[in-house]
Amino acid sequence: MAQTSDRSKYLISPALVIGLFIVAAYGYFALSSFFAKGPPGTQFAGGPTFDNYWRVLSFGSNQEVLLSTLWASFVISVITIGVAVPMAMVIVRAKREWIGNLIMLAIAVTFLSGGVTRAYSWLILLGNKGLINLGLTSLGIVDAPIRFLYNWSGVGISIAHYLLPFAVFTLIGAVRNLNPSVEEAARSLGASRTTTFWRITMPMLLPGLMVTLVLVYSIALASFLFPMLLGGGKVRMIANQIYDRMFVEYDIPYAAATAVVFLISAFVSIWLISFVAKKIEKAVS
Amino acid sequence: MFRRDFESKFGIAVTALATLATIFLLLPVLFVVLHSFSPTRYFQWPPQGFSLEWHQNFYNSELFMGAARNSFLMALIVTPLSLVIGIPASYALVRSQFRGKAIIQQIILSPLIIPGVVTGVSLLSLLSTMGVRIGLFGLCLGMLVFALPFSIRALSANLLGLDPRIEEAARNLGAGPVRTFFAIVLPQLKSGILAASVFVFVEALDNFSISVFLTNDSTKVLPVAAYQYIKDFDDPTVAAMATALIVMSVIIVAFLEKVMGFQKSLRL
Amino acid sequence: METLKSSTLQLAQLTKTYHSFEAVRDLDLNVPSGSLLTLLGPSGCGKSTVLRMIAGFLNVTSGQILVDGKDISHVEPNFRDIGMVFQNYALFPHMTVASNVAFGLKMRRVPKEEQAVRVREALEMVQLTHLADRHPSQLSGGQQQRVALARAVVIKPKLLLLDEPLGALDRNLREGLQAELRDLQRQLGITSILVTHDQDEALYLSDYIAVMNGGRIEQLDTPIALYDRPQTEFVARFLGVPNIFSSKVVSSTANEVVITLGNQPVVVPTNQNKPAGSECKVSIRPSHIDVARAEDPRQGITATIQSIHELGERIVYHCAIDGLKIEANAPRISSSERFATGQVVKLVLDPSHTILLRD
Repeated sequence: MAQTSDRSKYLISPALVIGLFIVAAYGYFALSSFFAKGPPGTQFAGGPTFDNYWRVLSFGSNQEVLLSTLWASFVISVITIGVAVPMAMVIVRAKREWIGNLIMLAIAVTFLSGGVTRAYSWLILLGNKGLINLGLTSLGIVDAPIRFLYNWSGVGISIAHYLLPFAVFTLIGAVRNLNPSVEEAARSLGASRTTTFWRITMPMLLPGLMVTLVLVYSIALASFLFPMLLGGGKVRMIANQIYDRMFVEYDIPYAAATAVVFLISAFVSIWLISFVAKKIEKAVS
Repeated sequence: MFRRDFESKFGIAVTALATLATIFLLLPVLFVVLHSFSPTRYFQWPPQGFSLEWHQNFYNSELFMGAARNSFLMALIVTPLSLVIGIPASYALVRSQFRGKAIIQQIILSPLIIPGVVTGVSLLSLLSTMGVRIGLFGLCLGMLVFALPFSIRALSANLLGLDPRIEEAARNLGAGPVRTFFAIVLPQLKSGILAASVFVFVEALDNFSISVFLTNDSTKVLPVAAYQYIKDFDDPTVAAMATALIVMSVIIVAFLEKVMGFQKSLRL
Repeated sequence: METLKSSTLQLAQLTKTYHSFEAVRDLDLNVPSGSLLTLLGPSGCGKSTVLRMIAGFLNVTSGQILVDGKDISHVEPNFRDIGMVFQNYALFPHMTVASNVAFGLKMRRVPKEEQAVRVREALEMVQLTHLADRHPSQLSGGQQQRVALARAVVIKPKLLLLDEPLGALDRNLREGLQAELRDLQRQLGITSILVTHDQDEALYLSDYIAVMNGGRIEQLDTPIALYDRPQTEFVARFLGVPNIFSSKVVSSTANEVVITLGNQPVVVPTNQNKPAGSECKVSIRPSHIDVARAEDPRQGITATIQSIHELGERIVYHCAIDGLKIEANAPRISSSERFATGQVVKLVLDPSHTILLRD
């Protein structure tokens, strides 16, 4: 046994070479954030400085993009999980199995059809004369078309739609791990369905919900294409800001500093979410 | 929430919510297919007829066909590579114990937690410093770096579910480590390999945030071409491209279902 | 805890069908107040289906479930007032032992002070007061089982349902808990239904045992009667009777028939009306066969010993009667006579335990 494992560990080598390559790339890029801007498109042209970080942190517009990225990602993630919970419940527990299978099929096809497809479709659907507004006005729900494009609502809808399959896939595992007899025990002890759901099912599901939240939140933070297409330059998330600094301003050190600040705040916010989640789990039990 | 509850009010409410969510999920997918057959340049309701103009436009477009060639070539290079590197790596991560394993795992899986844009821009800056010109090589390398963690994650999940005693039994019966791997481990990894290849293949075709940094006009890939087209033109040609991708994903799902039941193969 | 006011349970024509499959067919059953009845049978016999219908987790296809004469078959499970101990206990993982036990009282809006008193009493009853603040994951299997029991009885239910309550425990622990469970049930006087596939557990715990097969009750009897006199081939086989023989009735009178084992006649008392010449089956437990010398004066059949196994308290003889294999047991005490392999002996069958099985 010892001999076997001694040799099989070397199987990791090719992947490790690739891993070290990407870590080197991250490090190299991060390092450039500590150097002053040189001619457009250059790295390490100027002298060492913290000036880039000062620029990232001091400008109000930068703070606004950073905070709105974090906050919007969180809100969108929570809404997505709210939508995903009933789907996962039905997939795992519906009496008629074909209903669950049908939902799984819809998720799989949507998931595999890719982000560009869906971003484009939402762009047409959510237009002022798009299907959604047409439906809303002709049903008399609203008088005038709602503006979905070039603001957070359209970006949020499309990101939530992108996150939904990830959320459902993760939650299915959590729901499947629930032992139905625990809920039956609550029922036999006199709890109604609603009471059982809130006092037994949800607390037992909580760890799974938190794992899902962290997963979809980190995917949401990285959103790039959706704000780019549906935000039309009005809604920008951090990824767009980094891109613009690379390709519009050709200021690599500034882009690097933005990325470093973004990563640090992302990790801190994820840590914060996990921390609060643990507290909530403790409080519930 | 028990099975019989799905006949109750509570169950009906849950099912209704799930149905609404499914409609929300499918709406853009179905709509874009419908839109691709629109006879008009702009969306109109009800549809004014039926036209293959945008499909013809897509399949005759120099831009899209060149991008499709690049995309598929890249996906067909990256997918097998991610398996050839990913399978041994997952095996080592799951089956053997060594010092620094946790850190090595973190290093290899780091693109999973770092946003794609940061990965793309970092790769671009390192590659250009190393003098690698933007082209198919850089693109494939970038995509491999990005997709490998997904492949390793799917394969490790599969490996974790395998009983190591089966391998010990093979060794006990006289099979060497290499023979054991090919005769015993690999056949049991079928669902993980399938999940990993589907995921990497689709990600390679669809990824925007890496490829936007690592492509130029001659190595343009589908998502980048689509983005530029959407910015410059206002007609449903991209809907035709989307339809092609949706048809492809339906075929993939049908294939997975046929081979092993897609529910099982999609536990990513 | 004081003795509970105990209820009666009656199942009338209870039926459960899934599509075309009948899991339970026209089941009739009476459980007298305060007694423990066991549904015993192999997996798939319908015993769990019956239990889940009584608890309210499965809809009844037809028939009635009467508690104290009132039909509850359409009452929601949370209004049934039935305590249940689940397989693998189904404790609430996110609650302490005390909150687990208090849950049913909370649902019944029992005042806080009374809750505390009753939870303590229930935990005292199962000797777990010192673990009240632990979570289920910190308890051993036996402790979890006792929490599940306390949680089920603290609400003073009309019935107690036990679904393989000791199935997940290892053998030694199981025997200790069997005794505890039985004492507790007797002491509380609570009408109980136990579901198990373990015949030893059923024989030890039950006042009555219903052996189920294919959604029906094959035999309902007291443990001793069931053990000594299984009435059908299924029951005899399920209870591990090795000697089951196919034969033909040679002659019959009002209260006995004569059959043959090998070529030798055997008298079997019965009140079944079996005409001469008809096919039949008989069973007898090895311990009801006396192995004697060939020249023994009693009525018996001649057999040859093929092998002998001394197993702890008993000696097992494998014998042959004209090619038919039969097993006999003798107690392994110093005074008992020893026989040798190949020896011809006389097997004396206890007539009151030689059973003509029903078809």
